[in-house]
Amino acid sequence: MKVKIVEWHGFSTWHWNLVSDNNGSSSEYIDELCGICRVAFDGTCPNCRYPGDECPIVLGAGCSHNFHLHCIIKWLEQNTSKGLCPMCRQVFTYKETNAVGSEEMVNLQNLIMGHKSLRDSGRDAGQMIESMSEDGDLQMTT
Amino acid sequence: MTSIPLSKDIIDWIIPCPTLGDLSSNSSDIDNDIGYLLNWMQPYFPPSLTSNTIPVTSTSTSTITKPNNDIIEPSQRVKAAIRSCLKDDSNQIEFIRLYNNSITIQFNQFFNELNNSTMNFLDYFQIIKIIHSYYIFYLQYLNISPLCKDIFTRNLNSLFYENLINNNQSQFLNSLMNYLDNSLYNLNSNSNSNSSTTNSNRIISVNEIMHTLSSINLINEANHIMIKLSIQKIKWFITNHCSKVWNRYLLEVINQYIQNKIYPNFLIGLKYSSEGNIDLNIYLYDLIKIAHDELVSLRIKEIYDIILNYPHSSQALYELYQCFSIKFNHNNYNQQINFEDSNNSSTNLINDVSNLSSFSYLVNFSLKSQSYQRTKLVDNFIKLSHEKILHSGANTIDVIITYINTIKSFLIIDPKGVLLDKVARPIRTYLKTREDIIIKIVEGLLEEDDKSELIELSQELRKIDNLEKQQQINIDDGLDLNWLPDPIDALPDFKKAKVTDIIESLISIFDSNEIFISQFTKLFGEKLIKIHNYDVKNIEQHLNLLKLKFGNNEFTSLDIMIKDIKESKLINEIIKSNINNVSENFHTSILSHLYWPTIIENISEDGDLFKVPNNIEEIFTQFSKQFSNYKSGRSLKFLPSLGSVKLQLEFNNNKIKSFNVSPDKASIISLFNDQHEELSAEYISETLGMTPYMVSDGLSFWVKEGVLLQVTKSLYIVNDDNDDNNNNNNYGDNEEAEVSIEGLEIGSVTSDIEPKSSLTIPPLNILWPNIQTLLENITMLSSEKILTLLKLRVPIELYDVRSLIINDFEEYLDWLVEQGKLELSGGFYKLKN
Repeated sequence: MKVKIVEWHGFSTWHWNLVSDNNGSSSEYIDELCGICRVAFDGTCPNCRYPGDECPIVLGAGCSHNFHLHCIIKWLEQNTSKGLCPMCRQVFTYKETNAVGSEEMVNLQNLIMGHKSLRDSGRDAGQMIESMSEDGDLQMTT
Repeated sequence: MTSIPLSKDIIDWIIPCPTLGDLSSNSSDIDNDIGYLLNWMQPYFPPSLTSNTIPVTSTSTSTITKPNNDIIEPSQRVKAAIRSCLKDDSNQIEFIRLYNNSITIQFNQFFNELNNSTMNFLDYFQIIKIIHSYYIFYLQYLNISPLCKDIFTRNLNSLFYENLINNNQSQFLNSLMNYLDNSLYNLNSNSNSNSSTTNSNRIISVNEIMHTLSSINLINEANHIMIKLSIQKIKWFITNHCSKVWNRYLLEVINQYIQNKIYPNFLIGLKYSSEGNIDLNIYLYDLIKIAHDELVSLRIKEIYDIILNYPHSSQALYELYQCFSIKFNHNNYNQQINFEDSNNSSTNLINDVSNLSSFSYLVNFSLKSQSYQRTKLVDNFIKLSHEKILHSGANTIDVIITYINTIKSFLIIDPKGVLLDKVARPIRTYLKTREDIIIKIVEGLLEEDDKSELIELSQELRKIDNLEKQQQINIDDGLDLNWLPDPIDALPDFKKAKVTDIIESLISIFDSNEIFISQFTKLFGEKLIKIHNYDVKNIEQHLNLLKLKFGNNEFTSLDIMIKDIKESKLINEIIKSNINNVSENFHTSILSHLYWPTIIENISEDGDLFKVPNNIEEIFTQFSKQFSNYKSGRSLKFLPSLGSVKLQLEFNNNKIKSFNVSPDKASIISLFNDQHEELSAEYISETLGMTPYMVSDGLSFWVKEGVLLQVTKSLYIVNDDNDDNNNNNNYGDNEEAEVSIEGLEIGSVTSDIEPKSSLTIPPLNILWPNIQTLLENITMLSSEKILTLLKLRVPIELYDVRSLIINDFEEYLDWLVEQGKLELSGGFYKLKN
C-alpha cells in the first residue's frame, strides 16, 4: 500500500529567538519576560495590540538583557536613563538583526547615539563615574 | 325596677297611632260627612288583593289593565263630604296622617302574608301596580294641597320601600333581577326563534316596569339591579369569550358587546333616574372601563401562559397595554374619594354598588386601580414563574427562553420597561445560579442552525445594526433635550437598557463581561482551529457583532487569533513561492501561542509531540527556515497533533481510497507505506513517540476503515487485498468514499476500541470450517489438540498453521466462544448447539 499525503494542514507557533545560537528548530522554548513591562516577549508591550511584527523585541548586545522595542525606547527616551540597560546598568547596545529600516529601529539607534554623545561630552567635563562604567562596558564588549 | 322589653305593642301603647277608623267614633257635626267619606274610602287597600291571600297567580295582564274592579267612583254626596271635611289645610294634614296610618296597617298585614309565599316578579309587579293606581285614584278626588299630596306619596313610597326592599323576607329584588335577566339578556342570547315582536313587547314591559318603579320611587334600586346585572353580564361575556383567547384583538368585540347588548338596557333604567339629566354617555365609558378591568384581571391570572405563548399571544399583550394606558376622559366628576383599603379588589366593590353614585365610585376606583393592577400583574407573574420554572428541575434553555419571552412580552405591556424590570429581577437572580448559563448564552449567540432553540439570541445579535444607529445619538443625560425622568414606579436602580435589550439583559446578569469573553474566546478558538482554508470572514463578522455588544476592546485575544490565521495565509503564500518542490501539500497556521490558551494548554508535552512522517518534517524544517528568514529573529515550533491531513491510500489492487484524518492517524498509517510486514503497536508507539493509547486509537480507526487488519492483539498489517466482502467495510465499492474526519479535535479520543476490535473478524477465521468438522467428529478437544490436528489437515496454501503460535490460536478460539460458535468448559472446546 502506498500512502500519499495530498495535503497536510499543520499548526505551529512562532517564538522570538532569545538565545542567539538557537536557530529555531529546537522545541526548547524559553519563556522570558520583558524586564521593563514584565510581559512575555511573545506577547506585546502594554501599548500594543498585536504581538510579533508590530511589537518586536530587541536583544541586548552589551548585556544579555532583552526588551520589547517599544519598552526600551521609552526607557531610553528618559534622560535619566543615560543610555544604560535598566537591568544591569551597562551601556545598552543591541544586536543588529535583519529587520532593518523600520522607523522604530532608527529611533532606537538615534537614542543610543544621542546618549553616547551625551556621555562623551560628560566625560570631557570630567564625570568620573560615568567614564568608569563606560570603561567597564568597553572591557566587557571587547 | 323591672325592665320591660321594648316591643311594638309597648310603643303603640305609649305613642298611639290613630287611624281613620278612630275618626268615626268621634262625635261632631261633620260626623255624617266623615261617615260618607270613610265609607267610600274603605278598606284603605285594594279589596281585590285582600280578598284572597295569594291574589294573583297567573301572569295574565288582564288584572293589570283593569284595576277598576277595586275602585268605586265617588258619588256626589261623597264629593260633597270631601269638600266639607277637607276644607282647610290643618284638616287635610290631619286627615292624611290618619289615612296614612290606616294604610300602614293594611300594608303590613298584606305584605307579611305576601312575603311568606314565593312570588315571581310579574306578580309583584301587578300588585304594585294595583296598589299604586288604587291610591292615586283616591288621591285625585281628595282635592288636597300639594303639601299633603307630597306627604301622602312619600309615605306610600316608604311603605313600598319598607315592605319590598327593607324586609328581609321580601324576594322582590331577587325576582326583579331574575326577571330583568331573563327578559333582557337571555332572550337575546338564547335564540332568534323568539320573534322580534315578543322581544319588543318585553322591552316595552321593561320600560313599563321602570316607569312604575320610578313612580313609587324605587328607581334607584332598579338601577342598582341593572348595574349589577350589567356587570354580571360583562363578567360572563369576558370569562366565556376571552379566556385563553390570546391571538385576537378582543377589546373592540367587548366594546361592541357593551354598546349593543348591555348599554341599551342599562339606559332604560337611567331614563327614569333622577340623575338622568347628566350626559348619559359617561356610563357607557364606565361600563367599558369595568369590562377592561375585568379583562385585565383575567389576563393577570393567565399571564404566565400568555408569556409562554408569545409571540402567538402578542394581541392579548397589546390589549393589556391598551387597558393600562387608556385614560378615560370623563374625569370631570372626579370626586375626592378616600381609598381606605385599596387592597380590596374591584370585584368586591362591585357587590357593594348600591346606587349610581357608588357606581361612579367604583369606576373611579378602577381608574386609580391601574397601578394596583400593574402591581398585581407583576406579583402574580413572579409567583407563577417561581412555581413553574425557577426551580432546579428546569432546563436552563427553557429558563432563558422564558426570560426572552418575558422581556418581549412585558415590553409590549409596558414599553417603559418598569414592569419588566420588576419581573426580570427574580429570573435574573435565578439565572445567575445556573452553572451552564454562560455556555448556553454564548452558544445561543453564535448559533447558526435555525432549528435551535436559542436561535433567537443570535438573530437578536444580528439585529444590532439597527440599534447601533440609535446609540449614535446617545447623548449624555444632562445634555439630552428629550430627557425624561424615570417612570414614577421604577425601582431606584432602574436602567431601561439593562432590561429592554435581550442580549444586554442576559449579559448584565453577571457583573463582569470577562466570563463571557473567555467563553467566546474558547469557542471561537475551537472554530478557528477547524478552519483549513484560512477563511475567517464568517467568524470576523460574528466578532464584529459581538464587539458592538461587549465593547471594542474586550476581544484582544480573539483579534490576535483571527489576525494569526489571516497572516498565516499570507506567510504560506510567500514561503511557498520560495520552496517549490514540496510545498504543494503542506501548509501551516502560525499561532501566537500566548493568545490561544484553550488550544495550547490542551497540548501535553509527552502525548501530543509525536513524530510526523519524515517528508513532512523535512518540509516543515524548510518552511521554518524560510520563516526565520522572512521574519527575522523568530522561529517556528511545530504542533504535530493539530491540523488535518488529506490522504490517498493506493492498494496493491490499484484501489484508491481518500481520507481526511487527524495528523496522528496520518502519521500512523504513513508507517505502513510500502510496508508488507505487520507492525506492532509498540513499534509504532516507539517510532512516533506517541502514547500507546493514541496509537491503539489510531490503529483501530484504520482497522475499522478496512485499511489495516489486526493480526493479533498488537500486530497489524495492511489489508492490501482489501476484499470488500471479506471485511466489514461499510463503504462498499465506493473507493473514493470520503471518510468523515473522526476524532480530529484534540482530546476527543473515543474509547470504543475494545468493542470495535471484537467485531473484527480475525484472519484466522479461514480455519473455521476445519475446526467445525473436527469438533463435529470429536466432541470435545483442548486447544493444543485442535492445533495439532489442524496442522495435519489444513493445506499450507490456505494457511501456514505450523507458524501459528498457540497463544494466538487460543485467542482466536476465545473469539469464537465470544461469537457464540464454541463453548469452553474445563479447558475443552466444543461446538455450541
